[in-house]
Amino acid sequence: MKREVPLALTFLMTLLRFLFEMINPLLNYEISEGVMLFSRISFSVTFMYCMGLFMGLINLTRVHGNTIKRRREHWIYSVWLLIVLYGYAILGLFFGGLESEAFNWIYDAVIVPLDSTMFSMLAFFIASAAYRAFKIRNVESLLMMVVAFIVMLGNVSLGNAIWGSESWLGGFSGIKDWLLAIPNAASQRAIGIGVFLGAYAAILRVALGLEKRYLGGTDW
Amino acid sequence: MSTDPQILVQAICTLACYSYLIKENFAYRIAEYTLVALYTSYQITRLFHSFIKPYWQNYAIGEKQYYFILMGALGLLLYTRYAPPQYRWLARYPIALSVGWGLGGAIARSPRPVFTQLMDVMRPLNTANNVLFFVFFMAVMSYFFFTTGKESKFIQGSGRLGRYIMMIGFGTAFGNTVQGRISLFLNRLSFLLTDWLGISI
Repeated sequence: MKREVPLALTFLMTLLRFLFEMINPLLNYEISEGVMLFSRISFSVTFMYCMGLFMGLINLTRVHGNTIKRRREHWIYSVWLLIVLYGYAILGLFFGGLESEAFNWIYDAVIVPLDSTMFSMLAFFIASAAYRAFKIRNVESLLMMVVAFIVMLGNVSLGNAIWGSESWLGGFSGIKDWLLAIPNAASQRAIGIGVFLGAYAAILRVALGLEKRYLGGTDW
Repeated sequence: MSTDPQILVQAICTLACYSYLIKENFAYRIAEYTLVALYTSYQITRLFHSFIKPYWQNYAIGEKQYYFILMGALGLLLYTRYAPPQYRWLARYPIALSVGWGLGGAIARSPRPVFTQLMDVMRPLNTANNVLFFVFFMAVMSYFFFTTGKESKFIQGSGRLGRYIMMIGFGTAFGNTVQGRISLFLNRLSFLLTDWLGISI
């Protein structure tokens, strides 16, 4: 009842969706005018898991609530996080939602710049990590570094100024295009096929009930 | 310098983030915690207004598709994870249903893009590039061929070539990633100099 029924449900839902995807008349079955059976089941499943949308809010509240309660290091930032979390959620849920001017103003003024700045900082971290950890010890690491260097030069106008695209082999830009189109594409395809086979095997294990960890701990 | 309050807030947020490059400090931590909180709330709002509210109004109430109420109630079982231990197993039901639905889609749909790529690998061997592409592809595949990997000199050799080809692939990925991040950095720099300080570059 606690584990067996959910496992059976997973298998049945997998089978149901698979049949819908494979049998076209079933996929396009109209339950009423313009209403497809597949889309309604799909929407109802989406509706079901969207009901869990407050779990992120609850988890953050539990984690940061504990930090505040136990006065752990940096607890004052947790107070700030909870104020912002609930303030913005209340603004979004009860005061106009996605069309609200204040909601969108905060999104454009804070979330967009913070998000892109956080990602842009990775440029410094990658450069610093590469400087510290990347040593040319063998042919493989030499190849990787030379290729990375050529690709970077091929993408910028400095590379074009040093070795222009009109000159022999198309310059850095021409070599970069060839590297991307032939060795890179060949290696990505081969790796992609390996990844697909592994992932497909994992999917089948879950569908057949051989893999049960997604259902959570065994103590409950 | 811009007097638009939104641009000022954007500039403060950007500088607060970059202050981490000197050392970890109050401004960066506030920026970090603010982003986590705002993003969570944004996603909650988006999901609520894009799925929960319209689906409830249009299908459950409008079209009288009452199974949406049943599915909604099943979805609420997810919160039994926070209940006393004897009720927590109830959360497995919505997880099982949504995982199963997703798996069925993945089993049916995921082979298609891979087979499309495999078809592209089978190019006519009429140009040097096509021959090289096929040789490189087979070399990388042979690197992952462990059945006779140790015994066969041929597989060992082609596996070594495959390793070199993969390093070329990783090199291009590394170069592109670094440049992608640098272009994001330049975008922020351009915002600070042009939009905020009004310096034309």
